[in-house]
Amino acid sequence: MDLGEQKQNFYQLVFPSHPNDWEVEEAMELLAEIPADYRRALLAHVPTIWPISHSLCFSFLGEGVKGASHWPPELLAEWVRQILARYEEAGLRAARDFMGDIEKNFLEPLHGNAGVAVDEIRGAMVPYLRGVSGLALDLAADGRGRLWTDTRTIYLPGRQRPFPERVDNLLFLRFTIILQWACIAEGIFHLQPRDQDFAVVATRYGTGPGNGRIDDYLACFPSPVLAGRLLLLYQLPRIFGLVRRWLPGLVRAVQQLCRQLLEIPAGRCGRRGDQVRELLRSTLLPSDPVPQFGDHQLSRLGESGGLSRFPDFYDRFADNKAGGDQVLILLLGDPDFSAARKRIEQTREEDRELFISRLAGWLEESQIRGQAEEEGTGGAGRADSIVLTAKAGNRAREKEVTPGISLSAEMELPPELTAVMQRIEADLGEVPDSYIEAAAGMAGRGRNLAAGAETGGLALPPAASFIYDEWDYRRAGYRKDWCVLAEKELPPVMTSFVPLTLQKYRGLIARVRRQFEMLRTTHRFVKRRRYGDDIDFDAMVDALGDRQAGFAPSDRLFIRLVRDQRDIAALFLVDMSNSTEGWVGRLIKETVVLLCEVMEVSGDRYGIYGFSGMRRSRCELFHVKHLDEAYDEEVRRRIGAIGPREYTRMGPPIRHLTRMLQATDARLRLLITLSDGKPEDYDGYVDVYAIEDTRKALVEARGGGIHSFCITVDQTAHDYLAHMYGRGNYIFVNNIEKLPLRMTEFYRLLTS
Amino acid sequence: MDTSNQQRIEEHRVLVEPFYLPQGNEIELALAASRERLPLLLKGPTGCGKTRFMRYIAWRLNRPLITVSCHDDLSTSDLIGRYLVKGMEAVWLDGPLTLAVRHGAICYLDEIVEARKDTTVVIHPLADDRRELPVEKLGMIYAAPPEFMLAVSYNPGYQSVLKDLKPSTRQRFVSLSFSYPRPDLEGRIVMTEGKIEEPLAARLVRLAGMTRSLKDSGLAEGASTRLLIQAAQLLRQGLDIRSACRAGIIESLTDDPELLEAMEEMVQSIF
Repeated sequence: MDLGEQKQNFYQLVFPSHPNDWEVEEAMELLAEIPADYRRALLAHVPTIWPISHSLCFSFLGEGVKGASHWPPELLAEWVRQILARYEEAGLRAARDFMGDIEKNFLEPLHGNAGVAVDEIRGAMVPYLRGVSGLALDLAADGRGRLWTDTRTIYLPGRQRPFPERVDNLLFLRFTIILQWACIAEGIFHLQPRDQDFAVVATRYGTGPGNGRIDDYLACFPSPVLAGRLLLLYQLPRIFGLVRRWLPGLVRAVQQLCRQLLEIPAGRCGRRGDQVRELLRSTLLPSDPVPQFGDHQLSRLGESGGLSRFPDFYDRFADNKAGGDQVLILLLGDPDFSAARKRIEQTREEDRELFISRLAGWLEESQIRGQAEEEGTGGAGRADSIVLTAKAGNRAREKEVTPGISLSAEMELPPELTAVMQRIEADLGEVPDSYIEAAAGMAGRGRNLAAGAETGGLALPPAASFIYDEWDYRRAGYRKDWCVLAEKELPPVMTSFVPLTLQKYRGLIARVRRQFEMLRTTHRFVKRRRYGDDIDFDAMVDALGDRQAGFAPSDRLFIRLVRDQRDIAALFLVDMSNSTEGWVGRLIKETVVLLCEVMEVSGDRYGIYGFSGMRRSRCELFHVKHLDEAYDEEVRRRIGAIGPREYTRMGPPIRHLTRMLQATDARLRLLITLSDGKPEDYDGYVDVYAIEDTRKALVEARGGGIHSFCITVDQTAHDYLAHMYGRGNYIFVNNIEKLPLRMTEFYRLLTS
Repeated sequence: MDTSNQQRIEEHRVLVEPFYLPQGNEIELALAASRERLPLLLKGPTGCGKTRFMRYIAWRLNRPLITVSCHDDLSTSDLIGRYLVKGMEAVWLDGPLTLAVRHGAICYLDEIVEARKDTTVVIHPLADDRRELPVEKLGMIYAAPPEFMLAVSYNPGYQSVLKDLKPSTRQRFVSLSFSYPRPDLEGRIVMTEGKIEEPLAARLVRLAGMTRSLKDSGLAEGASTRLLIQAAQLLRQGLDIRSACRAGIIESLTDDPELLEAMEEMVQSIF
C-alpha cells in the first residue's frame, strides 16, 4: 500500500475530524516500515484512541511501531487498554511515559516479573482501607514502582520483598498503605504555605513570591523531589501519631519489622543518613507507651502553620543520599504533591457541582411539595425562604451536632446531599454561601424555564427509531426531541460462548436453579378461606365466639395452600459501551447467560437489551431477547454477539424500555441495568449532566410504576449511584468475578 | 373482666429506668408529640436503639408500653381483639391495640413494614386527629384518651420493592430518624450496657465505625450498637478480644470471605 492510500485510509478512520497533513504523513511514514499485518492491527485501534486524544493517538502509533519487534499483535489490545487507563488517570504525559518503555512498563508486569500483585490483595485490602479511613479510597499498582497517593487512590510499588516471609511483607504493605492514608487524614496534602513561608525560601534559595500552593512551595527548594520526601519525614511524628492512636494493634505488630529494617546498614549515606535513621527510629520505635484512648475524632490540620521550620529541616538533611534512604522511601514513598493538589482541586470542583445540582433539585422538589400543600402563596418568595432555612439548618448542624435527628416537618436533607455536604465541610470547613446561592439561583430559574423547554429538535429521524427528550439540569428543563434511539438487531454469531459458560458455571447454575425453582413454587398458606386443605383453627374459634356472642359467624374457616402467581415482567439493560472491553465484557456476557438460565426456571417474563451509541443522534438499542420471546438458539447466538461498542448514553434506552414496560400488564415491572460505570457520551454527555439526565429518566420510570435497579461493577467512586438510582436501588459488585452469582442473588432477593 | 385487663396492662409498665443516652433532641420531640397527641414514627438501622428509646419514653411518661412485633401473618384481629369461647360463653379479648387505647398506654408496632398493608390500615383512624378505634365486632368506637400514644418503627434499609411504607400511613406520623450514636455516646452506651472499661468500649466503637464505612464495598449494614454490646458481654465473660469480635460482631455481618478478612484485619489493627 503506498503512502497516499495509507493516508486516505487514516483519514477515513478518524472521520469527521481532519488532522494536519504533516502529522499524518509523519506517522504513516513510520508505519510503512513495519509488516502489513502488524500495521493493520495497530490502525485498528485508532478509532478507539482518536476520540479520546489526538496527540495520544499519534504517540501511540509512534511507539507502537517500535513494538513490532517486541510482541505478537494479540497483545496490542491489552496495551491500548493500559495506555488509556494511564491517560485517564494521570494525563497525556504519563501515558507517553508509560508507552516509552514497553519492556519495563508493560511486558514485564504482564509476565509476572514485577508489579506487586495488587489484584491479589485488593479484594480484602480495599474494604480494609475504606473501613479504616471512612473514605472512598482505592488501591492501584504504580507503573513506575513508586508508593504515593493522589488523595483518592493509593499507588503501590512493584513487588517488594523487604522481608523473607510473605506474611511480613503483607503486614508491612498494610502499614505503608495506612501511612499514606494518615498523610491524607492529617491534611499533609492540604497544607497551604503562607506568604512568610514563601518569603523564607525565597531569601534562602532566591525564588519568586508564593501563591499558597504546596507543590509550588516545594518547587522552590533546590531538589523538589527531596523536599517532598523530607516534608513527609518532617511531618512523620504527626502522621505516625495518628496511626498510633487509631490503630495501636497494627503499630504493635509492625514494630518488630520496623526494627529489622532500621538495623539494615544505611550504606554510604554518611552522617546525615544516620540522622535520618535516628529520626525514624525515635519516631517509629518510641520508648513511651501508646497514648491513652479517649479521643474519638480524627484530629485535622486546621492551620497552615508548621512549615516555618521546614527549610532548616531541609538543609539539615539535604543530601541526596540521606533523602534517598531506602527505609524512608519504603515507608513513606515518593509523594507527588502536585498530583495530589490537582486531585484535591478536581474533587472540590466536582463536589461543588454535585452539591449545587443536588441542592437545586431538592429545593425544587420541596417547592413543588410546598406548593401542593399551600395553594395560593406567591412562588417567588418561597425559594429564598427555603434557602434561608437550609442555611440555618447547616449552621445548627455545625454548632450542636445532632446527627440524623429531625422533625420531618422541618428540613430533612436527603442522605446523598448530606454526604456531599460533609465532604465539603471536611475540605473547606463549611459550605460556602456561594454554593447555596448558586443552587437557589438554579432552582428558581428552573421553574421559569421548565415551562418553555428548548426545542432543539432533530429534523428527520431515520426509520424504526424513536425520539426522546433529554433532561438538562443546568436549565432544569428538557431538551425537546433531543435524542434519536434506533432499535437494532444484533447479528447472531455462531459461537461456543454459551455452552462454555454453562460448562464453567455448572455448579453455580445447578444451585441457583434450585433456588429459583423455589421462587416459582412459592407456596403460601392463606388463612380464612371458604374452602381449603385444613381447618383454620383461629378462624374456627373466632366463629364459635362470634356465634356465642350473637353475631353471624364467618364461613371462612379453612386454610388453603396457594401457589403465588409471580406476575413479574423484567427488562435487563446491558451496557455495551467501549469500556466493557475485555474481561468486564466477558463477565457481563456470562452474567446474561446465567440470567437466562435461571429466569427460565423462575417463569417470570423477561427481556434483554443491550445499549450503546455515539452522540445524541445515534443512540442504539440492541435486541437480544424480547419480553415474550422464547429462549432459543437464536437468542443464544445474539448473546454471543454482545460486545463492546461505543459510549454509554443511558437516558434514551431507559426511557425506551420504560415505554415498553408500561405497555405490559404485569403487576410488578422491573427495569434492571447492568453497567460498568458512569453514563457518558461523546457530545458533552458526561459527569453531572449525564448523571442528572439518567436520574431523571429513572424518576420518570418510577413515575410510570416501574421499579428500576442497577447492578454496577464500577471500580471507582460510586457515590453518584445513590443519587442516580435512589438509596437501596443499586448494588455494587466489588469483586467482578462474583457478578454472575450476585446478579442472580439480587434478582431473587428483589422479587421474593 | 376489666380487672383482668387492668392486670394485663400493669404487666407492661416499665418499672426501672431503662438506660438511654439521647443522641439529640429526640426525647423532647417525643414528649412534645405526646403532649400534642401525635403518633411517632421511628426509623433507623437495626440495633441502633429504637426499641430502647420507646421503653425509655414509656418510663418517662409512666405509661404501660405494649410492643407488637409485626410479621406478615399479623391480622387485624390480632391487633384489635377477638371473641374466645370459655365454657359456653363467648368472651371478648382485647388485642394489644385495643388494650392500649382503652387504658391509655403506648402501643409500639415494631418493624411495621413486615406486616401486610391491609393490616396496617387499621391504625389510620388512630393516627390522625380522630384518635379513635372502631371495633366492629363490639359495635363500639373507642376514643383514645390523651395518654394513649401510637408509635411505629421501621428500617429503611430494606431492598425488597415489596416492603415499603404506604405514603398514606407514613404521612400521619411525626418522624424521628435514628442513626448510630456519636462515637463518644456510643462508647458510653457500650461501656454501661456491656459493663466494660472505657478504652475497650472506645475501640469497639471504632471498629463499628470502620465496618459502617464498608456499606459501599458490599456490606449490607455495618455493626449495630447492639452487636457491640454483645461483643462486650462476651469480653466480660473472659473471652479474648479477637474471638469476641469475630463471634460477636464480624461473623454476624457477612459471609463474604474477603469482607470477613478485611474486618479481621481491622480487629487486628485496632486491638
